[in-house]
Amino acid sequence: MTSTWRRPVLYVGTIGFVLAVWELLSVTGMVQPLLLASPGDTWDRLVLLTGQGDTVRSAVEVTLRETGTAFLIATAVAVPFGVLAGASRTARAAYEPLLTSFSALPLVVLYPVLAATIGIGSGSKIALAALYTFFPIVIGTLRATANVDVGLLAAARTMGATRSQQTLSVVSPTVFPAVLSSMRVGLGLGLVTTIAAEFISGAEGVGYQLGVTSQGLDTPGLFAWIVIACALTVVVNVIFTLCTIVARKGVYR
Amino acid sequence: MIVVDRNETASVHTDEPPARLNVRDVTLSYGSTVAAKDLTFDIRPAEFLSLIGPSGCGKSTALRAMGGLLTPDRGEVTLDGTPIGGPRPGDISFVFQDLALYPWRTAVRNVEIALQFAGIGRAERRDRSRAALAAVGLGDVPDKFPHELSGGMKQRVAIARALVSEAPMLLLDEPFAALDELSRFRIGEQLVRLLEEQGKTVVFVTHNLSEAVFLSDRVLVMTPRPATIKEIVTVDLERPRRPELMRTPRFHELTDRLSALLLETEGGT
Repeated sequence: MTSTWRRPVLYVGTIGFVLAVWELLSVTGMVQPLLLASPGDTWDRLVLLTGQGDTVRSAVEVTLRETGTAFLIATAVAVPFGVLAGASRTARAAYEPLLTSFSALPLVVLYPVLAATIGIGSGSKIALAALYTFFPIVIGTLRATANVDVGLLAAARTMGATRSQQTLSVVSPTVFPAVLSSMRVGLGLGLVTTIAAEFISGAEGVGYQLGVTSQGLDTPGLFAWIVIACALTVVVNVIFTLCTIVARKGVYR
Repeated sequence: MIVVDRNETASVHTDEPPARLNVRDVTLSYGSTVAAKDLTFDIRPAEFLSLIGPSGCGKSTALRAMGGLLTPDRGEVTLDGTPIGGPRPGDISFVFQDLALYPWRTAVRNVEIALQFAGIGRAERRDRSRAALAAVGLGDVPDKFPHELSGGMKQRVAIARALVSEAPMLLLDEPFAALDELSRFRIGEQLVRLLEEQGKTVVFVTHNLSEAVFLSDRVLVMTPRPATIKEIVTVDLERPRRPELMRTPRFHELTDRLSALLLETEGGT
């Protein structure tokens, strides 16, 4: 097998194996149809759902919009704050332990509070997802900024760099990879949080559909929405990767 | 092109009063550690001055104060009569021991960054940076990244970056420390020729005595921390400096004298 073909063959093989086990478990009746829909039934339901007006499209749109808004808000606050706090030893000592301990809290307990204050619409979902997205990004950015080589900054100062020039030309390119990976972690968490919040309460989005189908004992429907949620995760990650390629060109100008 | 500009600058400076940089009663400290105490010396225009002394004696700290990166606790550093008060990119360039090259920038763009901070336009900074690289013998590798270059080549990129701004004064902090003896010698010889041509004023921190003698007009010997001045030795060897000088009796007398002074400073503690 040549190396060009190894990866695609491995991927297809792995997915095929999982599907085969899934089929085996449901066809032989080892797992009851109520708990596990067969791949065939799931596929039929997917076809039905996608052919059925815009149920799928509007649910995906809602979840994407909520996750995206939460991600933008969290990034817009976390990255500048992380850079500012990371650049100063005093600010680092004050905020880093605080942020690390907050990030370990099960913030989902705040959801009832958020729902009561903001309402059970999109707003509370965005708020909770933004909280979950914020912590990995701010901690990652702060650490990366703290680790910037002071020698590189001193050299920039001798060449007359102003503070903003130092941030733009020395700090940004240094912290970029770490900030990007923390953003990817934050984005994943944000998507999970959005879906979970929709699941808890609300009337739209992928999480809501998962809730409706599972509570209605509509197992093929539930599995169809699980497949949709997985596809959504893949799409979100691909979009993020494409954005990073553009951003990289900007930072390493 | 750069060479011509430098010669003009050099001729202007000969009309000026003798000292370019004055270090007056300077005391420097890191937290509670006193790194250098009551340093007083001058640097004359177009002079090559080396600082030598035991490891960790505060030579680099003194150099940072001369470059405006550190404010003295007491005393004052003045450039052409005015207190230095911070980095002066138009007057003073720095080459650091660890070179401080930006790993995500190619050689030419590492040189360019000095001009970018000075607000010079893209086309001009590209041209001047290529010329500066060519002047240090790196005309053929402008688009390589630092990790693709040898130690000696990285060294030259750092020197090109210090030269491109055309600042008349250069502060070099053990720039050849990481090089093997042969590269060290080659780059040193090339550097001395370039700086002689351009009439630069240079302060050079080093551990290597023959390097100090070969390159310098005067060598300032420092005591262990807190650094004070043990003695300033004048190197009365002719310029331009040629490698053959290193085989003359006078060269050996001078290196012997420096090593004797260094041994004395160590015995003093």
